[in-house]
Amino acid sequence: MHEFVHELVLQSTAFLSSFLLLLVVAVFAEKILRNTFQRYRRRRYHFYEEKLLAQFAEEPPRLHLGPFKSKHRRDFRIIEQLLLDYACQFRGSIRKEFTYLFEALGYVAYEVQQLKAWRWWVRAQAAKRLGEMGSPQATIALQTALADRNEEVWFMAAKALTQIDNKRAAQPVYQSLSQRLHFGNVSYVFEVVMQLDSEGLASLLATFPRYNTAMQTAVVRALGELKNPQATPFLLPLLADGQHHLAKVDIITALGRLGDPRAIQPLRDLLTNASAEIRQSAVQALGRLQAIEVADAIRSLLDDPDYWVSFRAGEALAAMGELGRKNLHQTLTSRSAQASTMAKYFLAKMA
Amino acid sequence: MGKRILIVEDEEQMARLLSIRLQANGYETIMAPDGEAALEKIATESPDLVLLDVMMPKVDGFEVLRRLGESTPDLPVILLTARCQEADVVRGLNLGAKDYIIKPFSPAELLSRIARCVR
Repeated sequence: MHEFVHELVLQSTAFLSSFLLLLVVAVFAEKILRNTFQRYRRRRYHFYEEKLLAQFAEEPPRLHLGPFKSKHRRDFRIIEQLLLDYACQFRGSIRKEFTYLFEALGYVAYEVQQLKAWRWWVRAQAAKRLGEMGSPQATIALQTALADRNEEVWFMAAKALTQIDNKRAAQPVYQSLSQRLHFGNVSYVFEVVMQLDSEGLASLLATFPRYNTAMQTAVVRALGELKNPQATPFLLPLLADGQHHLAKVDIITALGRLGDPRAIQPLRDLLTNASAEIRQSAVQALGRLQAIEVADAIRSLLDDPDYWVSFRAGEALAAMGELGRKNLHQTLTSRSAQASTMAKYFLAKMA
Repeated sequence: MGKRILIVEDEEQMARLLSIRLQANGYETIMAPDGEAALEKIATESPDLVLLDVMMPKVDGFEVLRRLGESTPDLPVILLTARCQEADVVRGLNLGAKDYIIKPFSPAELLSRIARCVR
């Protein structure tokens, strides 16, 4: 029995040692292979980079297909990466030449094919690359990808459509926003909206009433960041609309950020709203707009029963410079202890 | 001899591209990867114009602009900035920059802006 156990231990140890040895060899081999591949990749990348840069040294610069028609299939993705790295640095006619290269070398067709891959990350990467290539040839494939169940793929396709050199390409993006009921990543909507030009903005706002509240909130926040006063006439009616109550604070904040004086009067009307949250965001937005014409109304909020409304009123007056200072001074002698304390605090801060 | 342009850009690819395009149009170029190196090159190589990236490691573009305003206020500076950094453009122009270029850029636009500044 003792001998049997001894034999068993010996054999197990031998087996384990050979397994470990094999594992170490496999790890090393993988490392060596990966390093060799990376070195190859780097070498080939620089090889093609020199050829590309040589074309930029011409006056006017012309991109020729020749140097990038590789006989090596393994260089296909290396050249694609190189061209993408450089294409994103340019606007104008050179950007269009890059797009032509992507089309002529077969990259657009290849990535369109990849949009049908079963792995979502491959589809997402393909959509991202197609956006960077900016080829109108990918429009239909990308528009189809807007129906993808995966959010990342939707986002990459939506963003890609805003990058394509065809104004109409992005139209279905705004339609598809209204069809997405559950959207986990609000920042995706945000980023797509941030890509809009004036025409895209008009299309987005035309479909806005059909979005659900979460989507509307995301869009409204992005509009505020976009700082395009064109959005003001679309946002103002939403302030009066009862069904947008949840998004109201976001609409008010966005109006403050847009910097459009047309929002001053409607925001002033909200200073007497029953909700402290709305009064607070309205006064903050008026401060952002430097609305000196409603300084009196803002001053009256220094005495608001809600501390934060009163604080934001002080902050808004302090942002208005000399006129704000004058209003804060007048409040120093107020009967309300809260108003005079707030005025004293902000005057000290201004000094 | 062509006008001498200092390219202050931390992205090597972008810096090389700018340099090649400018050299193809008869300019002489010097490159600096960050603000500190840029200030050194301005002192030693006396360029005719600076192409200055705003976002850089160590000393950023604004600090370079501020220091240039004190030492060489007549040296024209063109800012290189991304599309989403438009607030930076205002800050840069207030600090004395002559013009700005938004990345991604159009080479033709870049050349005409440079030509206007060094004329």
